[in-house]
Amino acid sequence: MTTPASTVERGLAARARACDAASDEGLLDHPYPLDATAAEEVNPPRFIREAAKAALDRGETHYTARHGIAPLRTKLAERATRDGFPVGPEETIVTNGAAEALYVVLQTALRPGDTVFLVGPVSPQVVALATFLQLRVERLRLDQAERFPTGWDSSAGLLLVAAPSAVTGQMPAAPQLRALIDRALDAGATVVVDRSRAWCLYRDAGYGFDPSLGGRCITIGSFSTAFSMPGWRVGYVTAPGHQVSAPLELKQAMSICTSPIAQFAALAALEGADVWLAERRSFFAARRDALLRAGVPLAPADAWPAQLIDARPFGDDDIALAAQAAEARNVRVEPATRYGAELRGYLRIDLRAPRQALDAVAEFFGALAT
Amino acid sequence: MTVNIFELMELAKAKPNAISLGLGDPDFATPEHIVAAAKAAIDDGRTGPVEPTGLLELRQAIGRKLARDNGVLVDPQSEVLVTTGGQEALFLLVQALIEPGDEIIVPDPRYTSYDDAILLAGGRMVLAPTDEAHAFELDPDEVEARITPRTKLLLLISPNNPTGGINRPETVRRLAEIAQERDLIVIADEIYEKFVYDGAQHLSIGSLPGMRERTITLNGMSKTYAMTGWRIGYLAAPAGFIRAAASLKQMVNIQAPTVSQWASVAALDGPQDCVEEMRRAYATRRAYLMEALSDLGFSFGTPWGGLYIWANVSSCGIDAVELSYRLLQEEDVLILPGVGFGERWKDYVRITLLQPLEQLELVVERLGRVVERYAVRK
Repeated sequence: MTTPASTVERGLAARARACDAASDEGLLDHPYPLDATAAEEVNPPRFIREAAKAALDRGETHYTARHGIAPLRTKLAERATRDGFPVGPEETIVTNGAAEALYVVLQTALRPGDTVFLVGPVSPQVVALATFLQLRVERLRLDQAERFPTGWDSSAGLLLVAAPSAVTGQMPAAPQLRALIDRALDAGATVVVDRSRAWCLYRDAGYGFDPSLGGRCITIGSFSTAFSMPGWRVGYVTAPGHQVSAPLELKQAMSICTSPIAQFAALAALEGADVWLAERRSFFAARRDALLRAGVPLAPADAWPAQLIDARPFGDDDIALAAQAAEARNVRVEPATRYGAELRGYLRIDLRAPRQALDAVAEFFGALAT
Repeated sequence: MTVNIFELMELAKAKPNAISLGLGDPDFATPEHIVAAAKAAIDDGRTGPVEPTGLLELRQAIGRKLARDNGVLVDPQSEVLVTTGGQEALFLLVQALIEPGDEIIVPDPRYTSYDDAILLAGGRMVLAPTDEAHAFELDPDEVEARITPRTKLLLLISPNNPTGGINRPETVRRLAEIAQERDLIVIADEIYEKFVYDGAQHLSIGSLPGMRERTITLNGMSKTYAMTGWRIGYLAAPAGFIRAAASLKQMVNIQAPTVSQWASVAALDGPQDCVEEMRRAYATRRAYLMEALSDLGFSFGTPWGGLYIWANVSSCGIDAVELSYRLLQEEDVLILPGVGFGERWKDYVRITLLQPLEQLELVVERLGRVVERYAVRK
């Protein structure tokens, strides 16, 4: 008879073991006394919570349509269309957060051995997911459109670009983004635009994507950051008609549907978005400006809450600098090379962090400057 | 007339007001104390992110439930994973355990939504037949005959969807012996455990000596507490399995919804009378349908558990897909034909117990009319 340890060892698939090892960092992370990288818990606004309770009062506690409740899909499709990604409600899938959206798209668009092109710095979780799916990962800069050869098998590659980036808060430059997507689509690659931070732009000047390209792209997104709803697990996929059924089927096989309580909360979020998002923009802009006034060398950002600090004047070893911040001020900042080698010399903070943690960052850079 | 299941599903979309005996979605409202707990969580601001493995309070409640109801002992810190519904629980497990070419023994007929997860992982489903004459109980000899060097997993679903068959305690004990002798990992899907009838008993295989280290118990809130929309399932298993499934969980959707997790704590720790009330209602409906369907000439293995009757309609001489299609088109009643649960089940339909008795009476009346209209009695 086998021992328990050998049963488990024999039981796990190789790719699960690899994924398990890769996830150690996230799972075993210990908090610092002050953490400038983690969001202070904020509840969604009252109108969203009340909508969730109203859904409970109506008995909205059973399965919904697999692709989500119709009014939410309609609102999401209208917004995507307005921003240059023309789709209808039937081409919209409500998911359990953006992570599920990305998973169902990658899993169904690509096969093991295919290539996912990641533009700019990305979360290690995205790389871990690609590794689990046995994909080849290629990192691209925005100006590397020539990396896409023409005449590809359409299932062989996928370009993933975040606009704006959840890592840097920066929007890709429009002309370069257009050139890259145009080239990728012409080459036969699937293009996925991650719009999880699109609600978080500081300037409410519209998204302005070219519909002739946007209509050929898949988008994914999330309510978590913009509406303080990470625990509610609502995201979405929009996709051109011929690309929507495969991710929908996988989503159905995996989690059936998204909680209707959360879906009605998300619907309320969309209906009341303007006032709430204006408040959030002001709040984070004020925090950003306070750090700048205190002498923290912030990199330009188009969206909250991720914020890079350009620490290169103090040396390009961001890992050593982060350790120095922990030592000197008991505050955690992230070495940005965690997200990509191109961010060497940058540190990363989250403007949702506790005020004391951001103050400690300001004090640290104040001391460095003197 | 020749129709297929896809045409039936298309027709179902066009008839949203039909009486549905299709989905496995309880018609009862989620009990009030559970809804109240969700509202309290929202009011108190307990809606933020939690660990990918799930809210500790919920994992502890699951640990207590498994010890109390099932005799399955687990450490909530390391041996429980909260998932976004029971279906995701199986999905994660299969992705974590199956290597391409690995075999998993699955009772036939089966809940075919599990097929996608198995095939996606490159696994090979090996079907272990069950039959009407034995009330669709899994036969340990049939299982044993299908074990090969590539067999890694044995999936037990008891009570079963779609058949309502259960594995009696003596059968479970024999299956446990086989699993130990042949070094199999057992996934025990116990999502319908609370709904057994006429004195039938549910035994959790994970409670048996020597099985703790090779059993993954899968369960959830959806059926027991009429909480399908809340999307909470769970796995209880040795820590290594949980750790692997949790890593995947974190990648594919981070965590189960927080409000639903607090509601689930109330469900597991709160009064259980609501479950017995639902069970009694299902038992009444089941008794009614068994008699009425027999009167129509349908046969079935006794459904000792679950929420379905798996009825053989071949005595009418109508193909089960056609019968389902006619019933929906002409009488606005949705039932699912057996081919949706495995290719060889063309004579069967799945009828749920998930409508009030008066609705079921209407269903039987309408079903009777279709049979009368089209039957070619054998």
